[in-house]
Amino acid sequence: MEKLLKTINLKKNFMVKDKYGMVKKINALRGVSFEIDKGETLGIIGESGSGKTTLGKTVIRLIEPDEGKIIFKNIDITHKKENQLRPLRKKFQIIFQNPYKSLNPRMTALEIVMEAIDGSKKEKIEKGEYLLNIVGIKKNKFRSFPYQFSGGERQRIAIARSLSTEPEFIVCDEPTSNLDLSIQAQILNLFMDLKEKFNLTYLFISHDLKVIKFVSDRIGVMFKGRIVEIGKTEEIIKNPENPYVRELFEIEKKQFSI
Amino acid sequence: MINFLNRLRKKNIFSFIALIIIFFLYIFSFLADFISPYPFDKQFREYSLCPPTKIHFIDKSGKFHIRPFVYGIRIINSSVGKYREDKDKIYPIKFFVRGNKRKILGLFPSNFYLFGTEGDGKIFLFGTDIQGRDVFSRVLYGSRISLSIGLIGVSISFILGLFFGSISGYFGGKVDNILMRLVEIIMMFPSFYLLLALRAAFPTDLSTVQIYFLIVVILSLIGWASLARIIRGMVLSIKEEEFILAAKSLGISTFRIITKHIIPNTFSYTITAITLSIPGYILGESALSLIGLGIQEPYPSWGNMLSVSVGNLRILTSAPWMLLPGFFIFLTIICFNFLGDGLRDITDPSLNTGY
Amino acid sequence: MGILEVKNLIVSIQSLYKKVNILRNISFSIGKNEVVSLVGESGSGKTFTALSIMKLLPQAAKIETGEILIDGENIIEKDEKKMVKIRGEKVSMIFQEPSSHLNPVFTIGNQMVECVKGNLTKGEKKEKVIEILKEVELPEYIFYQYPHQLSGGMQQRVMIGMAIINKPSLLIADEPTTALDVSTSFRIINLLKKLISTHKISVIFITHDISLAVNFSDKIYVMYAGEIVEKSPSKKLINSPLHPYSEKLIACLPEKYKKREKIKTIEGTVPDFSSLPSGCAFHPRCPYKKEICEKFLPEEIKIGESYVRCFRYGKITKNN
Repeated sequence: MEKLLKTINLKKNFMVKDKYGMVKKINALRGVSFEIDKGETLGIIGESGSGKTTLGKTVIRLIEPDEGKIIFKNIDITHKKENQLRPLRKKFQIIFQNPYKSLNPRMTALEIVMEAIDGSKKEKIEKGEYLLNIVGIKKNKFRSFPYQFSGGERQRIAIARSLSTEPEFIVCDEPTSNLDLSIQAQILNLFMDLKEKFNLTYLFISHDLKVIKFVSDRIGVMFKGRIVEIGKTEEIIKNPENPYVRELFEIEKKQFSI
Repeated sequence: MINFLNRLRKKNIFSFIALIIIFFLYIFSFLADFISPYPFDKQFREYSLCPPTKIHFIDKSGKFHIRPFVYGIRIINSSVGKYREDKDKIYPIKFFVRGNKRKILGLFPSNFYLFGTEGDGKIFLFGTDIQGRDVFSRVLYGSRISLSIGLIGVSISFILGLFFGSISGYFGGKVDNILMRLVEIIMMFPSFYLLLALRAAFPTDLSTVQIYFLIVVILSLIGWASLARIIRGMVLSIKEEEFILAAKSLGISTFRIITKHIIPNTFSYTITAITLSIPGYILGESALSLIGLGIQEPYPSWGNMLSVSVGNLRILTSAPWMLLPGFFIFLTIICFNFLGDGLRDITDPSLNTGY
Repeated sequence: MGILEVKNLIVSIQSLYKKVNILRNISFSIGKNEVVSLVGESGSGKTFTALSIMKLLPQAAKIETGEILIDGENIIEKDEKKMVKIRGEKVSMIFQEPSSHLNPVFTIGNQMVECVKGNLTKGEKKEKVIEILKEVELPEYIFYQYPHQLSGGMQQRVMIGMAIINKPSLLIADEPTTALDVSTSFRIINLLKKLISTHKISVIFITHDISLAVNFSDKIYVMYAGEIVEKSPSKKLINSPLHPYSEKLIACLPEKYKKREKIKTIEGTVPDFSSLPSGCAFHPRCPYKKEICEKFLPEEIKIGESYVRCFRYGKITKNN
């Protein structure tokens, strides 16, 4: 199996001003290494502060790591400059958690999806409409603005946008955490359909173990900036080795199983 | 466009009325050559400081005229401004009259005017000034200067402010530092004195056109600074938004991110900031003209028309119509303020959430 | 007589152009030491229900008809002055985001002392606060700290402390753990359970998470489009839900499926309150719909220990 993405010992620190104005140093990533095969879904589960969102953004170079390497399809993209990176960006995309903030409020749905498509205006519109259709947006709303859509619909538009560059790899950063249960179900189904249809590879990040269990081939558990355990979903669920992971699964069983 | 007008009318009726008034002010100013009955420099020395001509429909014998008319003006004592209506002479007001040749907008020769009187009849709707020039006509011609300086000056400031503000905010670092220090230096000077100083740096006897452009340029150079600073602040916060990150990850070029994603999201502020700052430019020009550094005689601007009355008690008490340019300045500024309020109300995206 | 009785509550909200009913005929009762979860998706009206009981509705909202009896007294007519007495002493509420409900410029102790009711001296009030801090498992020095120095979980414990310090008989918890991590939320839930059994408080637990509701309470009320469509014991709801919406909602849980199996979703979307379907609000999305469902609103029917509003279980009707 070809390794689509490989990270080696990623480290990243931030200096952050919190809500009250105090500056702290945050060690978001403390040495993260893993690989993803083509066609696989790697689920990353972690609590807040584990570094999972930073990992998602770093892996596609929206953040430059302080140390370590990111290798995408055998190309080292760790420290590439933006103009070299730009043509490669088409191959890896990201879907964000908050559907209310990830769309430009002043562009229509069609404009948002069309933007990154290459080609003549006609081709852009055609492909844009095709993508919106696939994700389930009705034709009469193609030219509506984000505020006219629900959270679930906005997330669909974001998904269509991420498909517009024909990517091979998509980072899904808690894409259903802000959505209602029934909408989450629809979006999860959509993710599975699109994966098959377009032969995608996912890095699926969530704090919800039930969702991660459902979508992932392999699971990586993050704690304080490191992956403390990684392995096939069934194996990890049955036999977690790391004590933190064990505790996490225990809680989930006690609190949430039905 | 119709949608916009309707929304404005529903949201803030004063703002809508203000927009209409402003619209008409600009139309009249554009058509000044056609609307004003006299050229702005035509002097009727024997009618100096004549009060506004009254319009009548019923003559002294009680007869009703469908066509409004004015009486002749009997000069009692021109040097002390005493006039009386000569009720024996009746001059009907005619529309689309022929008069002296004039060039509409400086291009088309014409001797057609919107209204006027024939023969010896004079119609001074706003009275005359010391040299016997029709104030109404001068107000109309003067509006061209005052209204256009506002628009042009603001446009230039707007473009400069957006440009420097967004570059400063987006790239940060040294560029940001240098630009913001420059902005602070400009903002440090009290703007009126800066205006005077810049104007005084140039010779006082330039041609009118040159003076006009000089004023516009000076006003814009002072005005862009505060706009740039505010834009920079907005850009700083907008660039952290997720949809900007999304655009980056799609491989969109920096230029397009700034122009298509960031700047349009500053419009909710900038559009209203602009309408609210236009009055400042109008006042700036008026102030310069008031003290003689602006548009020179015989060309009228609302500012220099007022300058004659300043400190002149005789005029203020016996010829109050000379202050009408001041009223128009006031009207324009109030309207722009109301318009700005209304625009702010309707461009706020948080109000676009449904009902 | 229960701690809380809500009878035929109808609450509307006035927007710029029209008035829309949000809560459409809500009735339920909570007995002593009873723990009930109110489950629903966004837009179902669950938070509105809580705010109505506390009479903390936004200005545009109005209680059209109905009764809310707290300890037998109808609070609908009561003015703000009387409600201030009732809040905190009879009914308390805790919210989702603890940090936005704590004043950042006052110490925890300061804020908690402010909550204590009754004619006590400052010293006595402080003692009470220290006691409560122990009960919510926070160390005493928290008294002197500011909200920003506390983690999310600790802030929520403070909120819980503030809510129970005057020993109310009813606690309304509006998604108290949604903003918290899994492990933190586990501890907060355990704390709540402990406090409930110690103080014999009744609780209305609002959540969108069905599995959490099942583990927290014995009874679950399911809300949809401003109505309570099903009231069932928790285990019964999960295993044999009565209302089609409950059934389909439970079917959306990913844990009910094998990996990547297609989840059975609910057709259509939650309706807008300003344009609700005629008859039963769920009928456009209901796989069991009949003709009668489009025309009439179902009344509540008792089936065993459950109550449900659905024409599948009887022909009782009420005109729209």
